[in-house]
Amino acid sequence: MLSGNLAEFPLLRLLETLMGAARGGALFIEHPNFSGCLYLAGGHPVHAEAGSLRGLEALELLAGVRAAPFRFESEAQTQERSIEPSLQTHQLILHQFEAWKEISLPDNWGLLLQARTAQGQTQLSPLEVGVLTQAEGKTLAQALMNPRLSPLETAQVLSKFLRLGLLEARLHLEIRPEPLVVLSLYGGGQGVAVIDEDLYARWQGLLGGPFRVRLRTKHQETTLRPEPRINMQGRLGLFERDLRQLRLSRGMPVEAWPEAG
Amino acid sequence: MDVLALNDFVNRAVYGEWMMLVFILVGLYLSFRTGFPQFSRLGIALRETFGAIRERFLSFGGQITPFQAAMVAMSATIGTGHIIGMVGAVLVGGPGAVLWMWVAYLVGMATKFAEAVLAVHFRRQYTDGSVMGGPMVYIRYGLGRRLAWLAALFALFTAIAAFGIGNLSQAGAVGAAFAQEFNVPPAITGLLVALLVGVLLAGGIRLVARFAQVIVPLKLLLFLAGILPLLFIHLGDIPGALALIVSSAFSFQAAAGGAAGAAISLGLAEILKAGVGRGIFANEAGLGSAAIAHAQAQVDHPVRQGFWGLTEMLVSLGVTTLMALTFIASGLWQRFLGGDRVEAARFLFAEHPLGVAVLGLMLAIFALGTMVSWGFYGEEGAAYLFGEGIRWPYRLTFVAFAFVGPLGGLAALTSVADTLNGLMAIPNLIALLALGGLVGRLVREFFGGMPWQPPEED
Repeated sequence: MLSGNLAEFPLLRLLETLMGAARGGALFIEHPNFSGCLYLAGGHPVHAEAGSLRGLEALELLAGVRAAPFRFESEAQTQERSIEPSLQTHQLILHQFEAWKEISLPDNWGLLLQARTAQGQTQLSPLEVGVLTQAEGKTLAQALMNPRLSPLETAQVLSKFLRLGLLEARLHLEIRPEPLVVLSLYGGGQGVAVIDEDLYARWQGLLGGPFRVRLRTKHQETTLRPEPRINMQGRLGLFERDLRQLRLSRGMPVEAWPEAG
Repeated sequence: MDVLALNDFVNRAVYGEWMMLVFILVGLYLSFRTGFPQFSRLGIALRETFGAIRERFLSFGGQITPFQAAMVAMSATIGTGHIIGMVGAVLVGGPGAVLWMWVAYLVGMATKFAEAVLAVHFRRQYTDGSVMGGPMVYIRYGLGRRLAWLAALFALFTAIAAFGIGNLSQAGAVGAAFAQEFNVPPAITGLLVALLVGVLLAGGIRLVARFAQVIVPLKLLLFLAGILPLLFIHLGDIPGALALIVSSAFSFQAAAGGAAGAAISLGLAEILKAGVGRGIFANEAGLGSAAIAHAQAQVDHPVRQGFWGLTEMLVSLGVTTLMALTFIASGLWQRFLGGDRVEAARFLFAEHPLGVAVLGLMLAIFALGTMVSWGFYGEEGAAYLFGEGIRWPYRLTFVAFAFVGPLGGLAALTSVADTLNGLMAIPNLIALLALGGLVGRLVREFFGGMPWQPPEED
């Protein structure tokens, strides 16, 4: 069994080696955001899967993967045939790899895509508008598996949008709002959310840097500057002025979560 | 001078007028240092305690909640002294004693506030989540290594006093109440009390706290159920009773009557002593015992627990005041002036629709709560002196005494323990005087929105 990482052994070189040796079997690629596999028979690709994609589209997506663990199992076989073994297919595969070289996407396909307001006007084609609408709020991997467009086309548009700043790829974090109970603090402070030092360290670790606390009450949402303190487990300390403005009082339940900033 | 004579001498001194003066002066000093929180911060204290009562099950991640800590302290404080002791104060000092009791309570509020603040500030927290605190800890770590002997002295007094005020006296009161009102043999009462106290103490502070948060509201409900019908019966005499409290605060003369059947004349000193004595010893402010419970509360800032100290005093004041007002309004005080306080209380409750049994039940429940909290206090004192290994031997000894209590006897031991209870105040008041400035600083920091900085480990 052959195994390694595409970062050290690029997929194109791997395929050329396997095809040149006329090998049969399956190449499994464990991408952090999806699973992929490529079946070979007599050195020819016969079937490919990548997440929800099948056939040449799956192969097209796999061609864009620059780093992921892989393993080749020569005994693995499948009855499925989604790729026609021909010279034309070989050329198409080569073309796909060449096209990916021109595309600049972040290596982390788990990043969340968010539309941004760009300065100045940008003319968008209907295709680009479609990609933008479809990609907003999705991870890069999810956007590339757009069933209406090929992964390569989508990647080209996304690459352009990211370059122009029309899209932003942000770290996608699964941070659940923390249920906290309000504790009143006295003094002249304002705009501060006092939280337990352990929670502060946890949130800082998740976001990898400075953050603000978003607070959701029955009436409104607001962001506050976090301040760590000891012995505040399960509590959110707010100064009197903020309590009045937010129409909160001691003992009221709120939800809070961190936001990068 | 033999041991008992020495004990009597010390007892008179620690419960005497000079000691009362010290209590009052320390209370006034702490009031100044902390900006009279009993007046200036009363609204905040009520918001932080009664206003946060719905949070009673929410701790700040520690062993027991601030509410539970206050309940443990109140369970110890609100005892038979609030009923029988209050009646006794009126019988000794006349109705005017109540006014001085109020004054002593108001001053004592600052003392209790400071005790709770220092208890949390200096407490020691261990890796297993357990906490040790109280006067012995704030004396040791607040006053330094050189005065460690003073801390040990406080712990020793507490560990032994718990067998008297917290055990034999209370178990005796339960036994007497059950025997008199319900014809339960003292041995059976002793067995039941010992079993209950043993189970609760075995569960450590968590179980003691859970018990306290049930027994204190029960005590208060029972007290209201006992006193309100009597108050209603004498409602028309309440304004007169209030006027009498004020008019007889400085001197009091009664025509022939009272228990002795002779004319009685009371001077200011006697009235003061009876009133202030009740105002000091009924609520334990200055003795330092309640601080042992407050130290267990998991709060973000010591001053926040201090508010529970203030509220605890208010509740205690409410109970003693209701008791005194009802008793004075009933007019029974004139008949029993200078006489037997238990008998006077029994006569008062004879007017209750459910009879004197209410008094018996009330005294039994009050005493039980006091016993469990004091058992914990004594155990903490012993653990401070001898380490964790002493807990079980101490608990078993405490349980054995709880069984003996209703059977009577051991009067000499009870008397010595009572003296040691009074002596607890000396190391504690010295520490409060020395650390009053620190309490003042903590209060200023709290109201300045600053975080609490626990003291460096020594």
